[in-house]
Amino acid sequence: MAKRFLSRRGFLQGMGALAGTAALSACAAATPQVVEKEVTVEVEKVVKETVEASPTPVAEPVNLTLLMVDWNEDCRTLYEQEILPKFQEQHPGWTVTADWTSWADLDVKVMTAFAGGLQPDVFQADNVEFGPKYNQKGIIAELNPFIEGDPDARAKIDDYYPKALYEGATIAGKIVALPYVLDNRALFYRKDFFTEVGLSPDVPPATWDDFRAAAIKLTKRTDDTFERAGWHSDLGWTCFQTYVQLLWQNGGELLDEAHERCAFNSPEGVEALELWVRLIREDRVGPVEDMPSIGDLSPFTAGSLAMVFAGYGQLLNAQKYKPEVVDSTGITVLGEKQPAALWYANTFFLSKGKRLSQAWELLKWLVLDDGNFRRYHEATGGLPPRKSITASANHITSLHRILIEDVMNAPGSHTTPAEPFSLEVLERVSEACQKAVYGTTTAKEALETAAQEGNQIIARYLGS
Amino acid sequence: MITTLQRRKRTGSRGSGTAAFFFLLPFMLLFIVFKAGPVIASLVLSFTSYDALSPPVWVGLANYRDILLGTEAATRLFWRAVANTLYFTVGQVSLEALTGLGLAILVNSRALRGRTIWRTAYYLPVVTSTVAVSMVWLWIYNPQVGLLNSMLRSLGLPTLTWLSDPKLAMPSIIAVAVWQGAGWSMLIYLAGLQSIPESFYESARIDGASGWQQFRHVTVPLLMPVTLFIVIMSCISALQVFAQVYVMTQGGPLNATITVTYHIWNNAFRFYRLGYASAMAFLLGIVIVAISVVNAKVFGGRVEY
Amino acid sequence: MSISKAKAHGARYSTIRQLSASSCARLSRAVESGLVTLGAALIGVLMVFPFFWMVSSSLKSQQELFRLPPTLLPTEWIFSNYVRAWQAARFSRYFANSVFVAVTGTLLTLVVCSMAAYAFAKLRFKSREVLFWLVVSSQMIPGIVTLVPSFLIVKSMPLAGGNNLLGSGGHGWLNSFEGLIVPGAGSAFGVFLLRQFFFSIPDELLHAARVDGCGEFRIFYNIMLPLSKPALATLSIFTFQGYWNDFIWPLVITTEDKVRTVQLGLTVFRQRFSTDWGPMMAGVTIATAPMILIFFSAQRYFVGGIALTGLKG
Repeated sequence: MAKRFLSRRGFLQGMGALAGTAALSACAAATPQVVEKEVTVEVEKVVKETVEASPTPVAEPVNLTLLMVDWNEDCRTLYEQEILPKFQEQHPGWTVTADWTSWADLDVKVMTAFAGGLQPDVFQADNVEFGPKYNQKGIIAELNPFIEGDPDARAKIDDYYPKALYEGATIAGKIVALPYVLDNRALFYRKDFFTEVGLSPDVPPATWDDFRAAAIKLTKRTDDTFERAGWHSDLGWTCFQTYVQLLWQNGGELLDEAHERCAFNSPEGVEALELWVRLIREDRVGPVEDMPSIGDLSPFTAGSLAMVFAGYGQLLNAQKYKPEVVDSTGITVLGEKQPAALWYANTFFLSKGKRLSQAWELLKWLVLDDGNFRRYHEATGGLPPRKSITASANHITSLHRILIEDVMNAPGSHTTPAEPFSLEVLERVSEACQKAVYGTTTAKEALETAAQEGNQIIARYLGS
Repeated sequence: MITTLQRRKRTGSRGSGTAAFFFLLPFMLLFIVFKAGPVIASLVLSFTSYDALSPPVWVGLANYRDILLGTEAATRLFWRAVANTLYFTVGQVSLEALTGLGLAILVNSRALRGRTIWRTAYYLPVVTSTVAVSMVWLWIYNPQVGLLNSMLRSLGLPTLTWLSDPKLAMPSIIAVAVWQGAGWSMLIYLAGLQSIPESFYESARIDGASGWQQFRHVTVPLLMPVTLFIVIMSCISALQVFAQVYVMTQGGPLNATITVTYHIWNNAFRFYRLGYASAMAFLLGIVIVAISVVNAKVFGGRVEY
Repeated sequence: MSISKAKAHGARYSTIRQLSASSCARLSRAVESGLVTLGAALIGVLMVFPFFWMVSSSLKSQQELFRLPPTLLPTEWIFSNYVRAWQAARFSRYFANSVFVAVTGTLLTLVVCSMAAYAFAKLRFKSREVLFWLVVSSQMIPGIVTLVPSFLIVKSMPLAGGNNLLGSGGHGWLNSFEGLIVPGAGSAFGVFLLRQFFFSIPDELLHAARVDGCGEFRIFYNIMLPLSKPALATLSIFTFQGYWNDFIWPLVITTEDKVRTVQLGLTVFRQRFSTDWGPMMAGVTIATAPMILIFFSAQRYFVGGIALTGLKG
């Protein structure tokens, strides 16, 4: 069996070497799934070794590759000058090559890397977009055996916010990644503007009625020119992130329970989008089109926007460019039928392959070593997914804690469904929001179309 | 044309087949491996369902059927992309040709001093990379602190959200493309203008034609082949517009700038539908080849192509 | 009709016109000339302004960059954006890589294409015209069609990057200079351009050399190439431009800084939560400056090349 398989592969690759039409066979031969069959055995062996024997450094040279996407210059310096060299010191003969990319180029980078067999051993990505797809293809490693075989790791695992790990990084009961940052979203509001218009800065809006009334009150405009928008959301292809918060607040769901059909065209879902449309098109609390940054300042930091659904990027922006705004920033979890916001766990994945056990050592070094992980967060200013880091990292303020704990503890909060089709379906949701807010169709029609098209997309994935 | 044929007949030494083989070898090797091979492979891929992570599965014409007749969002977006691409192509090609003609006449004018300087200035954008100049234009279009809105503001006019207004986004992208491409069509027109014998204008003047009439009845008709050439060459590149969209708008707002190539890119690299994307690329290729064939037919005898 | 001929026409007739001009007409022509030149200058400023703005913005401090209304020139000239781009954002590395890729790629293209063009122009062999037609028509295929298969072929290069003879086991030419350079060297456009030029070299010259016992390679190397310097220069410039400005191919096949090119470096300044405009404009300046300089110093080859082939930039 194995021999026949090999000969077919050899034949295909022989053609590949001749190029021409054989390029196609190269595609076939190059695909990780084919490779996976032989690798699985090895992986199991390696896992056994690591689990049974103590993880002593291997003497033979090992070159590990690491792909980072959430980083800044401080973080890069920290990694290249301290954290990675120290790791190499502790493991003689091992080298780590780090690659630094941006979210914009991540899709094509990861995809071509896997297609070309050049996948990084350890890489950052977001679990919603990449995890399910790669898990389905069997090209990312399951981490349970590593965790179970390593008492040290197990203790650290319990330090994770349970949701982040067991919902954000777990697929079908298997832990497929370790979260490195929480990218949570909630309603940010400017306390100084609340005071200015006679609202109590300590009583943030709790329901949609409060929210709407506050938005209207906070808006300062003459005709089409906004001096200050009461509330606003950009309409790029990630604008579903605004919509899902409203949807969950209203008790709606994105997908049905079996995750086989879209459910956001329910009355709850339509109401959620109608609220958004009403705020922008009737109440005119903000412009239809995206609000520009004022230089380095986000509209919220600059004061041209009083309320916005945002994440820790907004905190970073204010801290860096206008620290006094941090003091007048409030963060709350808005509700209607239930308080709800959006949380995300961005995660480190391990690629299946020959260096899996070494990759696990690197991953442990990066996210389970308290000192390293804390310093990563202090450099990037992110929201740690581990309790002890939140408690000890010196950039954490009460606002960070609200953004982590209140968001994840709110009854209606979710992360977007970790399904291979999520990205494509959510893009349809974003389009529906755009259409409704631009006023080309009603909220109901837009969502019906999106749900219908979303169902077709899901059917395509489930069918294959 | 005749001289070319005669020349070709005389060309070549007898028994140089072996030499030809060795002279051609490096090129043909590269050509087959990196051009012909990929084209054929891509054609084959277009009949498969392929996600780059597992082996391709043969699906026959399903991709083509889905693209053209499907009910999925991807089909709707494909037609939207086709419409946008046509919008871009018509806008860019016509404006680029007009601007190029204007610039060529200006540069060709005997009254002009320092024509090399101006020609250089007009051509400069052509040599720079589209990605780089798109970044610069992103900065110029910045709604808050960008150059354009600052100018509007200082004139007391309302500012515009250039790239995030669905109606304005495509014209804004076209403007960048025209700015970048006008120098090229200027050069081609310039060659065309300089090949019109002055005697044609002389006799027109003798017949009492005004400057405008000379332009209308001598210049324009005689430049017709050049114009067609410019239009077709520009079409070929405009139909593949990608970098501007990738850098400046990512297809938004409200799908206003999603183009065929961008849609192909999205399906291939974000949704892992490589077979589907290959089929779309081939449909685009067919359109482009058709235009190129027209090019060859129309200009085979006139332009040395 | 060739450019030089057209120019000769124009010159002859303009001489006649000048001779017939009266002094009165001369005055009005001076006015006309001033107006036309002014118009040309205005348009010229418009065309070049984005580049001026790019350089000016790159030299402004963070604060001044966002000042309203914007200043035309930096009030205080700041070079820290360049320092950041060059050092922190690794542009020094990317720049060196780009230079290496573009120069090597250009040399390789010249060798490969001139040899093929010689065969197509001056040697007789079976189905020469068909083959040539095939090569030229390949230019019509949009690049995106071949992106993914090209990637997989480069990945399966035999005996490279850990691959065995059959092209498996390693990553071939991915993430390597070879992968950035070699696939683009078989340029159909290059063959086309040089073949056109080679036609203009008389066969009699080659015949004479052959009679003297010269081999084809010596004829090619000692007669054709020296006579074709203008065409080779034109091709070098277009090829250099192609390699230097390329974005998608390097984006797809590189994963490490050691081979990353300067066009890719630009995206680094567009972070998730903000864009660093100052360093970005410095980066864009660094990425465009070489092409602009080359264009200024060698523009007659650009002009000649475009007139010869109608190449769309």
